[in-house]
Amino acid sequence: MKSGNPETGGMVPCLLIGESAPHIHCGRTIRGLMLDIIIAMLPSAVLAIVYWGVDALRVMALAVAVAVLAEAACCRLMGRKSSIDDLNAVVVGLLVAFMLPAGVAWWAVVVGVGLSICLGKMVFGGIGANPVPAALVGYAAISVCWGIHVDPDTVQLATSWSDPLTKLKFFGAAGIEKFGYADLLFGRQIGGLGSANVGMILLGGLYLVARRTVRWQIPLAFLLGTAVVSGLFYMAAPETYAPPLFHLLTGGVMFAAFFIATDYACSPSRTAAMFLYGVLGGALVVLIRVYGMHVDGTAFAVLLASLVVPYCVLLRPKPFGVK
Amino acid sequence: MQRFSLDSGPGNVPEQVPAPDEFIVSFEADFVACVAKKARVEAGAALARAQERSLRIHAPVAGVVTDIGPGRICMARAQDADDAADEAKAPQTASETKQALDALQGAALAEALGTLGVDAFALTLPAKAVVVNALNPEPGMVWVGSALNHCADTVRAGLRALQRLSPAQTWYFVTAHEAGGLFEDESLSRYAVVRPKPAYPASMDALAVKAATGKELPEGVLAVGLHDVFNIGAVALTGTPLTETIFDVAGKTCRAAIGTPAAHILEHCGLQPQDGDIVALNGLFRGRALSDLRHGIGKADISLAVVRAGTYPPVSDAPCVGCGRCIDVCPARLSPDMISRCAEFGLFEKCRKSYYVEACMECGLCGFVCVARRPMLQYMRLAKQESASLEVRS
Ligand code: SF4
Ligand code: SF4
Repeated sequence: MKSGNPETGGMVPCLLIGESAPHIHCGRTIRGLMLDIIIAMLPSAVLAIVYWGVDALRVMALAVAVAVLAEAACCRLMGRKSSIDDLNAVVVGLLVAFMLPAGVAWWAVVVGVGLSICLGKMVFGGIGANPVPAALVGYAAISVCWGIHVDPDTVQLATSWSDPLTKLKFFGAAGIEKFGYADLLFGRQIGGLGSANVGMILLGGLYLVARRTVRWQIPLAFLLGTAVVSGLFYMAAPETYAPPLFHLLTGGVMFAAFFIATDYACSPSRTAAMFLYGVLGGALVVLIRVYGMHVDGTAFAVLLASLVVPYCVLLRPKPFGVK
Repeated sequence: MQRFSLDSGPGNVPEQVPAPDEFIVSFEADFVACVAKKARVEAGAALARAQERSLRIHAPVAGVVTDIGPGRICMARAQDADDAADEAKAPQTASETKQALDALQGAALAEALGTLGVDAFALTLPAKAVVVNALNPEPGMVWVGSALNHCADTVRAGLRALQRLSPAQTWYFVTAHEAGGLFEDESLSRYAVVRPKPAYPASMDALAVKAATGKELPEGVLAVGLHDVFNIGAVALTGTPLTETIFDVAGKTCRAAIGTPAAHILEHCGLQPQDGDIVALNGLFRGRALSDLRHGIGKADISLAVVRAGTYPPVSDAPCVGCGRCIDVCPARLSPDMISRCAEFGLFEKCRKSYYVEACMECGLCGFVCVARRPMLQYMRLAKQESASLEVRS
């Protein structure tokens, strides 16, 4: 629209933007949030390369490339504008990579990431519409279908480290005596190439909380859920069950608490609901570890917890002035 | 400084924007022009009047009517117009009018104010309490401080007239400023001064009422903005028609004759808009973007601002990612994410029944924080409008 009349007030005509209010913005965008998440993953990614060398780099690079290409292809097929520049595909790719062991076969990465993007995200309409965390869809699919190919114990042979959760599962509390908490914290365990670096994940997670990229309630509640339920087991029979700190520092717990359970689309947004969801997810981890057939079970715990999210609308306050 | 502070300090002495050569005086749809094209009009003569009410709109200066369009009259300032002479003319009638106004009450006073260009009819409706909302409407605005500190007489005259207009028994004055001096006047002793935490969105009428009465949407409580009080006061104090507005531009309080084009005001303040800029009328959170700089400023206008191109990420039709930020900031405790999604897909019934969109105060905060840059306030307004019309039909 042309505006400004040279005859009035001597203004030069100019094209004004006719956007709707508000005309100001806090400045944070999806891309900005995704960039934050990528930054938060960097420490663990670097440590993974230190520990596993080119193998880890290969998995991460492949995952990101597949994610971006799959998303671009889906957008094209769906006849819509490409959404890859919001960086969400990069994040999903990295999240899947972080859960896989460094020695995983290339085709498992391709299938896992491809499924995460196509079935986990795009079929529902893209970012924001997924009912469960997209990264879990691909990961769960490959670990159910080709479990042996993504199991850290079977693919990560050239190392003296072991998977503490496998030891716990098959040898009970006696099997985990040799693991020091410092070892676990620094990622001297096998597991997901990124998620096992528990200390670095915690560091990145705290960064996300400090930046308010994720809300603190969900990670806190998740970790509390794991700690309390595993604590109950431990108190009942310390010779059979692992102490709470062991559960917090192994498998994908720390990673899920900060990076997976906080997925915007499928986590609740009000405080009470966030706590409920977080505690439920954290508790399920321990229940699956104790009673389930999976050694870790974090991924499935988050998937199950996501199922309660639609009911969280029941936990909202009354709107202003509504009686 | 506090985030979203509404406390602008004492403010400046309002700066008079010099009269432009051309005026564009706008009015509402139910108005009819009472002058003809090319007619010469005197300052303060009625240009148009409402059909059902006594309300009029007056010529800000002496001049010639150049154009009459739907909802607006353009005027060229008479080159020979001697402003001083205009002002000096008939001081007699003005002081008579002023005295007459002082004696009137209720509907009769509203009627008389209407003929002088102030719409005060709603204030005469039955009410138990009146809340004067004297908070700067939005962060960054300053005119409230200027009005309270430098135009106290006008504000007092407005508050006094308000007491005669409304049948209410209880009176509140909600502000962020030191308003003590204002109420030293015996005649205003019935106003209770309330000072909520001065941070946006406290300036929403519904929240000002809550701050004063402690209740959410109580019945029989009327909220009145300070700008309306100021306009009433300006007329009550002088006895002359309302032909000016007080407003702010870029952190400075100004006064300008109604009908002064936005272009002229911005130029006076050294703010030339460029291609791609947004010129926001009446607030960055809630106001509207002008598409035409020939918009003449109106009696109720309170602010003009320029947002330079590229300052903020552009609005897009992106889907909601569910980050929940809008839920955190909503003063009405709504779920703007869900309402906007429903509005997006035309599910207006749901907006009302499941998500109570009518409780939305239109503060614009959900749009301010939305990381997907969705046009949230637009969705809210659309949903309110559509669901209200559904209600009427059903
Ligand atoms: S505009 Fe948005 S934030 Fe403000 S009251 Fe309405 S829904 Fe809530
Ligand atoms: S702020 Fe925007 S993206 Fe986030 S939940 Fe609200 S509407 Fe959705």
